[in-house]
Amino acid sequence: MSQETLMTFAGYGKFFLTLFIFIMFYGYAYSIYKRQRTGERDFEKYSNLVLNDSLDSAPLEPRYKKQNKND
Amino acid sequence: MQSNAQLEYDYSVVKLFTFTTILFGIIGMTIGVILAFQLAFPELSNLAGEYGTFSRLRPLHTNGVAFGFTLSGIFATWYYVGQRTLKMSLKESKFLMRVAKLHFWLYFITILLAVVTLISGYTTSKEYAELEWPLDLLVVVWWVLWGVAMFGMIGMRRERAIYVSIWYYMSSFLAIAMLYIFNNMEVPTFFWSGDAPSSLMHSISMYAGTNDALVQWWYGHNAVAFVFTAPIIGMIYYYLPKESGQPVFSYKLSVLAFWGLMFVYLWAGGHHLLYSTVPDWMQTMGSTMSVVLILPSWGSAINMLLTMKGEWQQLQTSPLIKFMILASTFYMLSTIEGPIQAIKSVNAIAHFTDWIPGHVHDGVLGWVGFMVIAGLYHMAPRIFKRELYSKKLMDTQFWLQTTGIVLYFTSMWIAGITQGMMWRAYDDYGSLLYSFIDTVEVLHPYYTLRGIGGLFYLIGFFMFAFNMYKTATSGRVLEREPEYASPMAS
Repeated sequence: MSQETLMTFAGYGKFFLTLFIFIMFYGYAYSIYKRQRTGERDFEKYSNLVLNDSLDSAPLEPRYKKQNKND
Repeated sequence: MQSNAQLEYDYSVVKLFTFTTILFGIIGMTIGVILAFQLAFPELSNLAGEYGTFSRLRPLHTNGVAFGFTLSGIFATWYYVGQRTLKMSLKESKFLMRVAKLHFWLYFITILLAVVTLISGYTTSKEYAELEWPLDLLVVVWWVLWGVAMFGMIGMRRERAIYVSIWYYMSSFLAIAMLYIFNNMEVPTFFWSGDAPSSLMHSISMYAGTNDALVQWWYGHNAVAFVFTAPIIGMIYYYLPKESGQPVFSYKLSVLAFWGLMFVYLWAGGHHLLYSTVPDWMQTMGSTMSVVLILPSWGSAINMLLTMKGEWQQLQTSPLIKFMILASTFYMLSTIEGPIQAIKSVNAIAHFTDWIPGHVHDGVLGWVGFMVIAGLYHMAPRIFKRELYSKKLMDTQFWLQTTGIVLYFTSMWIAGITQGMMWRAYDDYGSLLYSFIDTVEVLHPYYTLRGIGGLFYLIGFFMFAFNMYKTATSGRVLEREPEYASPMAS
């Protein structure tokens, strides 16, 4: 394969990779806003991970079911 | 997992890294000021023989502030923010505690060895990757230890959701691991030189020519991304909301800005090689991605400024909030300045001039330095269980350092653009109008101003060190941990 062909492949590869990631990124952005709007998931509540970060405060979304019962 | 009722967070490793942040900050910044005055007054280069020359001190300054001061700050804040937002304590795992302590001691030894080897003249000559191969191996060991501690802590967390700051710290760990290994691929000549004399402390890069330059700036620019940017954003996403008691303006925006930054940053390094022998499309890509980078950068910075919505009075009352808001503002400034410099036609004037160190320093002094300082100030009452020693001193430090930064970058802007224009000026016959020494003479006052600006910042840093020392030793003892705003004696 000649150098020129290789460079052409690299150029097209880069373009389609960028296009793919562009679609993925904006698709992700749209899905976040849609989920927030429809109430499927509240992303803004995660700010509280900072405000309530003492070890004895209840986890926002506990990882262990056991803790759920305790809480 | 233990019940968390009787547990508390463990700050022993945080304290160790806090100490090295201050120590390496003093060393790195003092050398920076010496270098600035050497440029203004070259006779200062002869004060300590070979050990005082610009070429020996310059890598010591850059490595000292990047991998000594900043990395220590990143590690200190990681072990603090990590435990708190994951709701786990290092006390819960003897293994992770040992790993974290080993991480610290190996790191500390490496940076001390870096100081000794760099001043002795052992260097690979690759910018920001000057450490010779035995030290590179040590770096890999404690970087892996940090990863073990990080993912171990994440694995033990009580919170299901991982806060966005942790994402930034994780990205820093993963990206630097990849960048560091690939850029430091080198051959220790001692083992392959046969009968030819060679030092054990010498190596050559595995790459050559343009490839070496490409890998170097892919690494170099992303060292900026994943040492000076990503973890520092992680810090501000924790410390500003916590200190102000305000939730982040938009968590959604923080997530989007994160992914935007992750994708775009890795492609921008090509802007360091404009008008060089690397393929033209790579140069164009470097320029384009640098301009696109404004979006995620400003996304985070604006998010931080809007977090203060309705609470701007805190800017008047708390010097800690001042540090963070100014850090965010300097982040905006340097992330608009960088893309402007990456535009090919601007770069034709800016490249190799003093505008470049000017740009770097409004970023590192204003954004990185202020944010690390703010993070340490915020943690001090929590880790030492004492009130901050002096608000007045903190305020004076803030204004002195801000003046220092402004003096630094304004003088370098003027110097850089003057230099760029003079180098390119030619007469009707195509002859250059100025010789190199003409530019040096014109730049002398600006170099002096830069030195004074740096000195202001350094004096402010000594005030910070003193304030932290007095807080740890003689601040008023606190009965309980402050929830939001850090208590400080007037």
